[in-house]
Amino acid sequence: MTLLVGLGPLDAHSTIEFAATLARSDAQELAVVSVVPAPWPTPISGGSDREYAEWAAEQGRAAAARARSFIDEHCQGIASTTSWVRGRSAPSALRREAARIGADLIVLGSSRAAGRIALGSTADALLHSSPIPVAIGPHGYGAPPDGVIGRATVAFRGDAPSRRALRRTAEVCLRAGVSLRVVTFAVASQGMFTAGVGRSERIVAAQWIEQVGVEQERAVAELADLGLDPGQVEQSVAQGADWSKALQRVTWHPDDILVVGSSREGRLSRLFLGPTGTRIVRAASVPVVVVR
Amino acid sequence: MTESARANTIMVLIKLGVLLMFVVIAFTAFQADRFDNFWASGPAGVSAAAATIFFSFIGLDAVSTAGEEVRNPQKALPRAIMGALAVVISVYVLVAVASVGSQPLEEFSSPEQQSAGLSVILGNITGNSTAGTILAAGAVISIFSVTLVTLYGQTRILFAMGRDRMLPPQFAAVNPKTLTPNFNTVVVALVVSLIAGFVPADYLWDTVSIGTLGAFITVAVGVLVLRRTNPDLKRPFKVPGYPVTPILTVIMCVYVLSGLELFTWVVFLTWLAIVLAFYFLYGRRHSRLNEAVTADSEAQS
Repeated sequence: MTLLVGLGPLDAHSTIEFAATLARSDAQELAVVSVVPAPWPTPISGGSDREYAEWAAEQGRAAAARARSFIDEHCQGIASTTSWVRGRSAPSALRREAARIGADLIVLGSSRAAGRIALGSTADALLHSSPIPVAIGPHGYGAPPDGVIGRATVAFRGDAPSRRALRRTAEVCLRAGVSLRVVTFAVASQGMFTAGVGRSERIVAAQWIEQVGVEQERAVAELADLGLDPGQVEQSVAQGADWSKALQRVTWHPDDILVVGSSREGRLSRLFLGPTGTRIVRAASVPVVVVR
Repeated sequence: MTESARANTIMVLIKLGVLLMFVVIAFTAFQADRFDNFWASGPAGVSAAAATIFFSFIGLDAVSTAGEEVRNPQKALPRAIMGALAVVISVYVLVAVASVGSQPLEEFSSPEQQSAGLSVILGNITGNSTAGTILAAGAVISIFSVTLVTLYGQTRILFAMGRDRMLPPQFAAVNPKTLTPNFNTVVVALVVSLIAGFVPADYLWDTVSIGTLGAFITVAVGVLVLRRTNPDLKRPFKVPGYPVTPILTVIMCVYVLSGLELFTWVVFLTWLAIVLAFYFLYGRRHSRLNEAVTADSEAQS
């Protein structure tokens, strides 16, 4: 199993630390890759971009060397390679590289908003096109040298994709000895004050939560055939005025990870994170894995 | 074949396709007697036309940048450049012969043919605008492909010059996220759109031609100088027929230059003066070459 780590130009160290934490949790290898801009693909008069191409290659070599020395110093004992590739865009280059080495997960960092997940253009593009799961660490993620993931929280929605996400997560948790939690996040509507239907609105919300709660019970019970004791799985429903408040309703530990299912059962075998999934990801304060 | 190579091939085929269409249609109206009085303007006619059209021969040197990808580049590249030259000249001559034979000489100076000559000729021959529109669309595609490469190349030239400190450091700056010289992209886009918007195209062609001729003369003189000052230099490719070839090059370029208008010379020399002034006032003092030279002389002393 290999994790492809896409290094951005900023905050490369926390991306590596996050990837290393994942790798330690499930005994995986890291393939750390930086993408630099490709030169013009067809010959140009005077070879005018030759110096630029050479400069870009230098940046790639330097990024790979920095990653190497950081891993050697802070992430000992993890099998890893560091490299750089030229690409017209970072998402397409990372997809190509992931397919080439047969990676199982793409790991990315966030470029801004300390402690939060920020979806940059690369992460956003991959969340809508990657054929394999994508993990995104918050900006400034740090872990102790032997840190591992302690608990995975699956954001449950009561539909087929979230049942599938739960199952896949349960498999990995069993293998890696990580505890599992299932949470349904709900945003309470502010109500329609003018129409006087605020009360019925609340009844609808309550009904939905009850339904999803039943779905959640059932989905967790079904995990028994994997050899997982459903009693060991934490379960809850978290409701808030917005996604950020809903997420804050449950406690989070530094070694937590949030798993979100890709929202479409695609005919295309790719990730597609819908608007709700995107909001949950943006509100998360722990690393997020988006699975299909 | 890569995606971009395929796109490039398709665009080349479109360009050749529309020109071929023009030649075929124009030959349906061909009359040999339209070549009567062909030499009426004498050699002055030839040099005037040659000077304006000379910009068409820019870019053949792009072949040489593919040198790393071919086997035996010393042989293959000159052959490729001469081959490309032969193809280009054949197509140009074919189009010129077809259009001269298709209509009376006076019509070429009509105002509407000054801007979109070939397209108007097609309209006159076929009696409707379909073929002319197809040709115009092909022209847009070919301008698009060429312009994109040139604009991109310009941003990278400025980047290289910025790194050599011949230009202010902004030109060597890159956006930390995309690793691309965004400042250059904006500067090139602004300057090029201003020029494209305000300067008539025929002035531009003439200016580009005079610049190209100047560059060719410089290269030819460079060959002459280097063979004398540096005879033992390792030369993977040697200009054949030295010293006749470079001298002939200079003579031909000067002859073609003589066909250009005075105005073009004024624009060219003014631009040259500005650039030289910038070089002596800024580039020469900041250039990174200075450090290399100083280091050398220190090492020697």
